[in-house]
Amino acid sequence: MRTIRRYEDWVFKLVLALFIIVVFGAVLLPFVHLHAVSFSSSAANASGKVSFLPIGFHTMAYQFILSHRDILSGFRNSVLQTTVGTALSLLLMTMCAYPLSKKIAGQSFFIWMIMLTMLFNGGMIPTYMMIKGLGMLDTIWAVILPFCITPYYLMLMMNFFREFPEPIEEAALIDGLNPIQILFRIVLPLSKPILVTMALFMVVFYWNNWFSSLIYLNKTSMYPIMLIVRNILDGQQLVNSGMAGQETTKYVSTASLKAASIMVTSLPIFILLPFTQKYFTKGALIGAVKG
Amino acid sequence: MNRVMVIGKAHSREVRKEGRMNRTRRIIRKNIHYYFLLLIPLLYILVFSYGPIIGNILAFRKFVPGGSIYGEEWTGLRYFKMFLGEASFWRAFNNTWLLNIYHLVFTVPVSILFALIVNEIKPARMRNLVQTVSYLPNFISIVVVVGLMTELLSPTYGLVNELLGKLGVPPTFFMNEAGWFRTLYISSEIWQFTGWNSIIFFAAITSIDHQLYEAADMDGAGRLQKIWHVTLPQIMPTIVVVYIMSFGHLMTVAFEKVLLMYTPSNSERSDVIETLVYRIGIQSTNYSYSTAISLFGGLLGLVIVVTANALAKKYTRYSLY
Repeated sequence: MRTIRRYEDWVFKLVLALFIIVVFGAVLLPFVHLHAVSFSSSAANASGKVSFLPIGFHTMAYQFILSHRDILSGFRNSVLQTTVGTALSLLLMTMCAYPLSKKIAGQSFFIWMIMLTMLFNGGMIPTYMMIKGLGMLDTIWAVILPFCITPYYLMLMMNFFREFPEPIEEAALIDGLNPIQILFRIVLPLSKPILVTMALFMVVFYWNNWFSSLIYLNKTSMYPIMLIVRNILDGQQLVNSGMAGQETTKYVSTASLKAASIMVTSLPIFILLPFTQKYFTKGALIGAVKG
Repeated sequence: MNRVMVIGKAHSREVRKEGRMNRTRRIIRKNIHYYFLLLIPLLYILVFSYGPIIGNILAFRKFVPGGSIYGEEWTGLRYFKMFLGEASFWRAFNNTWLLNIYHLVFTVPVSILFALIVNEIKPARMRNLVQTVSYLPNFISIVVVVGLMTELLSPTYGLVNELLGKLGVPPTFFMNEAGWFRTLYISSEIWQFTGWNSIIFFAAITSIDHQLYEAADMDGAGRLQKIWHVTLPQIMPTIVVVYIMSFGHLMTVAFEKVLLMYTPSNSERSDVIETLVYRIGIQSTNYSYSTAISLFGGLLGLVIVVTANALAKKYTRYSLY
């Protein structure tokens, strides 16, 4: 009996080790490969020799990408959209989630009203007409405002506020603060886990959002980085280049350009993730268990 | 002495009465602040969520360029009849639900399995590391994921074809072949979202009562038996809820990704309702017609969730609401 158990344990451990290796490889190897491609010479890329190490090392692709006017303006637009969008989102969602976590008249009606939009939404064309009707086409608001309140995230926030220790709020009330002051001076400073989680979700959303720019914005100068990258990956010609076209295309293959643009745009997320990880798993779990 | 007490009593009655009035007043005041906070978000939701829902009226009305966003004249079910008789609609319709069925069949069990296996990794640091790494793709843009696929699968320089070439397989243009579309779509979904989707199952697993495992230990259950007889039944409610939720999206695929993966040569499989809506509505500005198509898809999705929920309630006792 004991030897069987020990044997089973051993097999189990082996399978787990293999599993860990597969997960790591599956997630990381594609990026290692692209990293290699982005630094490799066009000849090496064309012959398909590059696997996980660069061949004929050069940094031309990155120089090209980072000096390109569209990409620079794309970065700027993305940063702007992301910061404004995230700030507005957090503010609106807090203003909505905090009162709804309290027992006030009409609470369940409002919650249902919001949750219903999770099951059924307006659809692409009516939303487009709405944005058009509000005169927001070709403005930054068209790609920010429609996404400020996400019902699912709102639910997570509501669950978080519901767990907030009531005595603290009551004490503040007796000290003469009104609920709005309580929210901003006492509850929010103590709600860092949920705020960081939401901020991370929204940052990732706005940073990756490209489709609404495709339909609501017409000027290339307003495009966010992801839409520019999508156009590069689509094989569209890079105009407005900061470098002499002929020279660069001779040394830099489109493959390394594409790879470099992928690496450059994913980098912010790669950097951000480890710092916020401890917050967002907690934040996501709070909602997952209760919701 | 006596007098003082009487005064004290009267006074305290007075105070209590005043206190009660103060409390009701305070509750009203308190709620006024809450409603004040709610005002802007509720207005926002009315405009940005319910505005477009009402805007679906466009499906029954004729839109005239430069006219009202709600259309100019009633057309009844004309647009619905139009697309129901069209082959391209039915192709998109079938692609949509088939893609989603495959999606449901493969992605949810994979994330359950993932949660179960990772949960068995005992050193906590290792477990956390595996989880963190598996979350990474979730945060990457679909643009990048599709770009990654295109690069890896390219017939001329892609890594995959290069490796297959070494085994003597001729290069295949995976992204361009209709036959490969569903496989690629679903496997990339698994690659991107398995780690993240398993969070909810992890949460369910960690809330299982430890006594159940101890009891199973006493009965001489092995690790596999414990997973099968304790963990799985315990996370069943979560699994059912996740499935019902996913049913709601049966008519709306992650359409941005489909759009990115779309090429004319794989359109036979990659045409879904929402890409049709996009092409007819945004690109050909045929607003009413495409609103009708998307409304049909959305309503069908709603009916499916409600039905799935009712069925789940009846047969498994677990449900969404």
